[in-house]
Amino acid sequence: MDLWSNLALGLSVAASPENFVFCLLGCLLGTLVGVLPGIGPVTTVAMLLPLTFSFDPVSGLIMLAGIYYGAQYGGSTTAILVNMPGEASSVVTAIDGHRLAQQGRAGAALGIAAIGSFIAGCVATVLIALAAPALGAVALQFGPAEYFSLMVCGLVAAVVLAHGSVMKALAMVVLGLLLGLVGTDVNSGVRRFTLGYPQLAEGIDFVALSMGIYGIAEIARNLEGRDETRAVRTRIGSIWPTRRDLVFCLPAIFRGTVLGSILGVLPGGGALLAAFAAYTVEKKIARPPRHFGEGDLRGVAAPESANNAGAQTSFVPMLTLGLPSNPTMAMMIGALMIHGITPGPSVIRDKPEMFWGLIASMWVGNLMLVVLNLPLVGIWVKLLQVPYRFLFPSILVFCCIGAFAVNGREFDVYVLAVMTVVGYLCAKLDCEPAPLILGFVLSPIMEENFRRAMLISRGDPSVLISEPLSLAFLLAALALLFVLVLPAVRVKREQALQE
Amino acid sequence: MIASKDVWAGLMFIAFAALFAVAGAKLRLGSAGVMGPGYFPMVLAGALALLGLGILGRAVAVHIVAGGARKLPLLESARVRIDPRPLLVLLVALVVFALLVGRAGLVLTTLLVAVIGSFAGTGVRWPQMLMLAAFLSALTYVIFVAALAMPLPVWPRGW
Repeated sequence: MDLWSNLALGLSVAASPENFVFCLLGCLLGTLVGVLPGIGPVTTVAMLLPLTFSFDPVSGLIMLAGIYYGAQYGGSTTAILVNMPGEASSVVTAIDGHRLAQQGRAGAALGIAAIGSFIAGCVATVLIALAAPALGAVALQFGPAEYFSLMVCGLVAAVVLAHGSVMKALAMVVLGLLLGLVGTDVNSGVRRFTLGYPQLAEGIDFVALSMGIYGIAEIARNLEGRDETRAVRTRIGSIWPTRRDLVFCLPAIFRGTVLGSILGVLPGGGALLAAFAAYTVEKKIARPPRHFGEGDLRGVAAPESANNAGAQTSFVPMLTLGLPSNPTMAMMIGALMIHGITPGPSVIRDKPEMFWGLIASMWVGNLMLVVLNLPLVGIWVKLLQVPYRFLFPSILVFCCIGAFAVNGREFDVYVLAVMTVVGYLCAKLDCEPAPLILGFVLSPIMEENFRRAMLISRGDPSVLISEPLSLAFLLAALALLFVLVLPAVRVKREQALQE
Repeated sequence: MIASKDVWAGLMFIAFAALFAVAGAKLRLGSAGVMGPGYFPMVLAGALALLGLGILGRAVAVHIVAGGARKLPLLESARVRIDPRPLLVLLVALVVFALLVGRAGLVLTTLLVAVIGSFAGTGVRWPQMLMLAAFLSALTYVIFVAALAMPLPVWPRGW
C-alpha cells in the first residue's frame, strides 16, 4: 500500500542515526527550556530556532519539531507542578493537574499526561499520513483566486481564536501583512518600506521579529512589578500510573485524541482549541462529574491528549497548504523559507523524504518524550526552581546571538530591538501577537496570489466570488466574522462598566 | 480599562497605517489588473486605518456610554500603566550587543550584555549575577562556536 511505503520511507529518514540524534536533541532541549517557568512553547521555539539553521533542512526541521513537542510537554509539566501555564493550551491542564499536584499526586498527573500524549501522537501520525497527501492533491488544483481566499479564511479563523477584541486581532493581522511586505517586490524589483536600509532588501528578518515579540518584549512585561519566587514543594509520587488509573483514563485519552486531531487541522485551531474542547467534553460526560476541577485525572488526560494530537495535525495545513494555524507553525514556515523551501502543495511531491521523514519523526519524537520524561522528571522539577532573575538574562543573550547569527550582521539586532518595542506596545494594549506573526508569514504568498488572480481576471475582483471554491472560503471567513463581530460592535453598557 | 486601552490601540494602528502610507507614497500603484508595487500595501494601509478608526470609535463610544456618565475625561481614562525601566534596560543591552559584537567578539559581549540585562530586574545580587554572566558567556561559546561552528567573531579583533 502507498501509505505503508510512504511511512517506510519516512521511517528510514527519521530513524537514520543522524536524524535520530537531532530528534532526541530537539525533544530534550525543548523540554529543558519549555519547563522553565515563564517561558512558553512559542518563546522556546523562537529562542531555539537559530540552532537548527546550520543543519540541512530535513534534520533542522526534525529538530525543530522535536523542540516543539518537547516545549509543549515541558509547558504541561510547569502547569501541573506550579500552576503557571506557559501558554493558553495548557491552561486547562493546570485546572485539574495542579489540584492533583497539591494532593500529592503530581506523578500520576505527569505520567498520564505523557502516556496520553503518546497515544494521541501515534494516532495523529497515522491520520496525518492519510490526510495530508489527499489535501495536498486537492490544493494542487487551486488557482490563485482559491489560494488567496483560503489565506483570507485562514487568517480570519486565526483571529477568531485570539481572545480579546476581534477588531484588534484583525488589525494585528493587517499590520503583520504590512510588515511582511517590507523588502524587494518580486514582480517589479522595487524596494518597499526599506527606509533606505539595504539590509531590509530581503525583508524583516523573521527570527529577529519573532524573538523580539515573543522573547524580549515578554521579559519586559514579566519584569514589570512582579514579585517572584514560588517554591515547588510538591511531592511528585509515583510517575507510572496504576493500571486502574490507566483504564479509568483511556476513554478520555481517545476522545481527546479524536477531538484534537480534527480541531488541529482547522486553521486557527491547533492545540489551544483542542485542549479546551476536550476538557469541556469530558466534564459533560464524566460520571461522576463532581470531581472535575478538584483533581480528576481525566481532566489532565483528555486535554493533554487533545493538545498533542492538535499540535501534530496542525502540521497538515502548514505543510500541504502553506497555511500556519498557530504562531509555532508560522515559525516552522519561517524556518523552511530560510532553508529555501516554500511550504505548499508541492512539498509532498518534490520533497517526499522531507515530508515523510518529518511525519515519521513525530512518532519517534513522541516515543522519546515518554521514554525520556518519565525518568527525567526529577530533573525537570529541579529546573522549575530556577528563579526568573537567572532566566531572563539568558533569554536576552540567546535572542541577541540568535538574531545576530542568522545572517551574521548587527543590523538584525537593531531589528530585534525595534520589534521588541512593537511587541511590548501591542502587549500593553491587549493586542495578541499571534495574528501578527501569521500575517507576516503569509503576506508575500497572499500578495502574489492576489496579483495573479487579478491579472487573470483583468482587474475584475468578482473572480474571487465567481470561482465556487474561492467563494466558499470567503463565505466561511465572512460567517466566522459575522458571528464574532456582531456582539462586539454593539456597545454593551454592562461590559463597559465592568472595567 | 478595556476601553481605555482601545483608545491607544486605535491610535497606534492609525499611526502605523499612516507610516506605511507615507513610506509607500512614491510606490507606483498600477491598476487592479496590472498591480504596481504600491497597490497591495495601500489596500492594506487603508484597511489598517479603517480598523484603527473602528477600534478608536468604539472605545470613544464605550467611554461616552459608561465613563462619560461618571464625568471622566477621555484621555485620563486612557492612561495605561507602564513601567518603562525593564524595557529600556533591555533595549540598552540590545544596542550594546549590536555595537560591540563585531569588535569585541562574542565572549566578552555576551558577558557584558548579561550584566547589563540583569539590571532590568529588581534587586541585583552581584556575585550571583556575575557567575550567571560568566556561565552564559561560556555556554554560548560551547553551543555556537564549539558545537555549531557558526562563523561568528569570538574574540576582540586584533588579538
